[in-house]
Amino acid sequence: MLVSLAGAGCAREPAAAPSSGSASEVVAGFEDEPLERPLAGDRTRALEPFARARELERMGAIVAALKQLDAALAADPAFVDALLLAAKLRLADGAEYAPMTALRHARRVRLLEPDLPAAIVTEGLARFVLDDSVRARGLLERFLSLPPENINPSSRAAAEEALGLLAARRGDVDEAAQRMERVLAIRPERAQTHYGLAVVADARGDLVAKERHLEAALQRDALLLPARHERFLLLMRAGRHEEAAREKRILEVLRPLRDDGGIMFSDDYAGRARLWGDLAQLLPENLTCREMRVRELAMARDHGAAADEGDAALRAGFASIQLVAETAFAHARLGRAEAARATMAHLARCNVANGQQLEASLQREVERLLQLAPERAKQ
Amino acid sequence: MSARVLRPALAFALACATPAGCTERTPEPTGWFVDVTARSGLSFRHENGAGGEKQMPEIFGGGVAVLDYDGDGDLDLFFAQGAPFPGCSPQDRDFRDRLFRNDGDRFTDVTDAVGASDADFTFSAAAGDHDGDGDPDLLLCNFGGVRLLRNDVAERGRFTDVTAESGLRSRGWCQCAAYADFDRDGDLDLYVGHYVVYDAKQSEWCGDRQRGDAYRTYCGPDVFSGEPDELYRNDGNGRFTDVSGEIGVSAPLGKCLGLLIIDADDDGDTDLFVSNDSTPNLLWRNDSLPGGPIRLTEVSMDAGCSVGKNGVARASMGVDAADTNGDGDQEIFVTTFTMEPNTLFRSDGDGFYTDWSLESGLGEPSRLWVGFGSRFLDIDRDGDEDLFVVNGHVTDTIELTSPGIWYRQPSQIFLNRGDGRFTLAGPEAGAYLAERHLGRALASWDSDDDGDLDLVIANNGEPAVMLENRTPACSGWIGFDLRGAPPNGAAIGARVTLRAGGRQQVREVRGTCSYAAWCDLRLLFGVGTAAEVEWAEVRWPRGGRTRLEHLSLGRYVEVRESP
Repeated sequence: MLVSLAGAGCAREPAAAPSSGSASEVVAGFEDEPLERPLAGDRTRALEPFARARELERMGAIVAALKQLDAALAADPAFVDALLLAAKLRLADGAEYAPMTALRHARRVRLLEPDLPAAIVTEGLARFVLDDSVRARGLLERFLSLPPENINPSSRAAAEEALGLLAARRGDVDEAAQRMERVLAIRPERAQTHYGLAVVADARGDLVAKERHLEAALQRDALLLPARHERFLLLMRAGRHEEAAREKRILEVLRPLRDDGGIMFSDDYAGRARLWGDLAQLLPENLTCREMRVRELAMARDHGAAADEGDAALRAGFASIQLVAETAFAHARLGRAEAARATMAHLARCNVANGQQLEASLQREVERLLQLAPERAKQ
Repeated sequence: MSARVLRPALAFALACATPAGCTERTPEPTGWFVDVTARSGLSFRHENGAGGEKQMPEIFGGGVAVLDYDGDGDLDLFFAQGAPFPGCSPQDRDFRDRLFRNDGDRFTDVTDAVGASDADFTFSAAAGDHDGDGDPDLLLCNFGGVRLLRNDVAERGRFTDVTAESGLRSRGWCQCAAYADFDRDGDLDLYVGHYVVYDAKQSEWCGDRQRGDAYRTYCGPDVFSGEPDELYRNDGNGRFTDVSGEIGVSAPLGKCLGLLIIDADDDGDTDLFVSNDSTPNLLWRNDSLPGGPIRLTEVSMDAGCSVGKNGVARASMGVDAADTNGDGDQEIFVTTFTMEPNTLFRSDGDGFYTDWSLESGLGEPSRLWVGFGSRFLDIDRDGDEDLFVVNGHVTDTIELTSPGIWYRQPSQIFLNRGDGRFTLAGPEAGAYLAERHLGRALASWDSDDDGDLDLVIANNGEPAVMLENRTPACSGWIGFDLRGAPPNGAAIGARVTLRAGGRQQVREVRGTCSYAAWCDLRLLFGVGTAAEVEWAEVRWPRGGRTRLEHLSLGRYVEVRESP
């Protein structure tokens, strides 16, 4: 149809037309489901699983800790500390809908104690993770405006970092940079923040600074996938193909281990152990690769290999609670009492808070596994 | 070139068609997009064939194709239909694919009359002219393999199943297909995208078994291995040769849900973007020499469009491309799963892409939705491309297990602010956008030749919907109806670049679109307040160019490629 609109007498900018200025500011389509204020339950019954959850959290056993928290909250749904810890762990969980659960926990706390600083920041961080940025920003700014004595440094750093990333997304690079610098003043070794500064540098078009910040991030966490990915792309664009090729090899192994669409959540423990081994070859100085390889071998019930790998890593000078514990547990599962107890001696090389308490806890687990070993051997 | 008058297909009330202007529009219903399904005579309902065993194919229909099958100058509609799985009661349900003829003011079901159907579970259809005889054929992408229905309507009044003699040997889960002349020999080659290796006789139990059958749901893609894609070279005379192995397209084992024909590196030939579910996307760069063997090189990781900014593969589904920021390069947009941002890969013009999802404003509002069909269209004809996305979850227990996330979900419109940043439209977009559906395929077409794009949506297990674009945008427009030299008469792979009102724009003719869809192949441009198109250039798939100057607005311009 030949309709010349230009000459048809139409208004150029009708009031209802969808121009950039007239569109509704619907931000995210993010609707909260209704929640009721939790009712108090049996706090006494909730305390034991809560204490156990805290212990498990310190050992890095997040899934087990969450199970204990579920038990604590089943006993007492209005247990604020349990709700907050569950929210924190869900945010770190990485499972598909975990941030939604974290948000729900944080909102429940705020139904009980609306002005509790820990609840405000936890809800803000959950909304940040869920990209509900307007409400996240409001909550996090409110949290940072509270009297300093009400804010713990770790939460302040997390809030500043989230607000910095939101600012970078909006294109407000000066605010973003200021916030990231504030985080580094509190937590200079936080790799994510160095990566955040790389994002800011990228937004400014400063590729030299971007590379510097990416390298700083990777020095602190060599397995930080976004930083690895960005560094690879930066090297490709710069035509530095040899360096890019090395980065690509690391990415090809790291991605399936960090990617929830790949091997990450499958039962293929042996496959994951193999990948961690490959990564250890590419990143020989990296402790996490060693820890994870031992852990995955143990999960694959290849306790002999787990013990051998753990021993080799400890001999090579690596040491961490997780590495020591997994290695000692592997020996214990094989009934090697002497080796298990000798491995535990490496805990002295790990600088941990509450070391005696933790060591006692791990010792108990070693002894329990040693007792079970003969039965396991029969099976 | 010659100007050609296209007759109106449907006698809908047209925006701005009266001298009195936009304010004289029919008052009810209102909104930019109005559901006109009922009065169009379109009566297609998608059947997903669910029989209680939660068979994964059930969640991926339906599909839609816009084509002029009878050559009468208006566009007809084909809908891909499911098939019953064991346990499904087929009584009172119509499991035929359906073809609706456009009779100007109504659609008429001509499926049986012309034989445009098969009994298989069909996900999508591609309406390329595989034999170069000037009419669109129908390639059905089925669970079990492809089926090629040759358009013999002009000669015999029917489509003819020519799968066996065509050389196509696809088996397994054929999700989608795209036509393009990869070797630039003039005919259309065929890429068939496969999803996962799936055996319906051995369906897995997924969900929360401890909580019982009410919590059983469809398995995710991680449970299954990816199925190799295929590439068929067109040998002319309607025959294809499988060159998947020698080209290497069967190697990456992605889980394909969407395909995009695009000249990604602006070198004049057709590249291919493959949108994969939870595995890295692929970008096949075309390194073929004209008339030589097909050579494709997979460059997605190096180019920066394989995974998201966080380095993780997303559940990519529907896909489209447009120059969203006016720099002459086309961005690639991909819809994704809940908890992931819909992804915009911004083209940086040098063969590299940057994940610009959150900065563009397209990522954040998609977090709770599962996006499928997506189409760029210049809703307000202001010279930049806006975006329509249809959503719908695939996990039918999602409201039980994850409160706050809906199973049926609303569609969304994103308005381009002119610089590649978008704003989510509100209720003024129309009542349909407030409704919740299981959105899947989305096709765009100018059903009434009024210079704006209307939409057809094939929802899963629901009636199809036809939305008429009544956006009161009174800016100028121009359309291009490209007629390539045979055998690629539809000029798939051609690009039009134009300049109007100080702004340069680009569009390409794509041999598939959106998710499970085949769209109107004409190219439509809004030009804002410009009085004319200063110049336009057509770059044909085989490299020739046609330049046009001082074009008047408000019409479709037919441009023919010199043989």
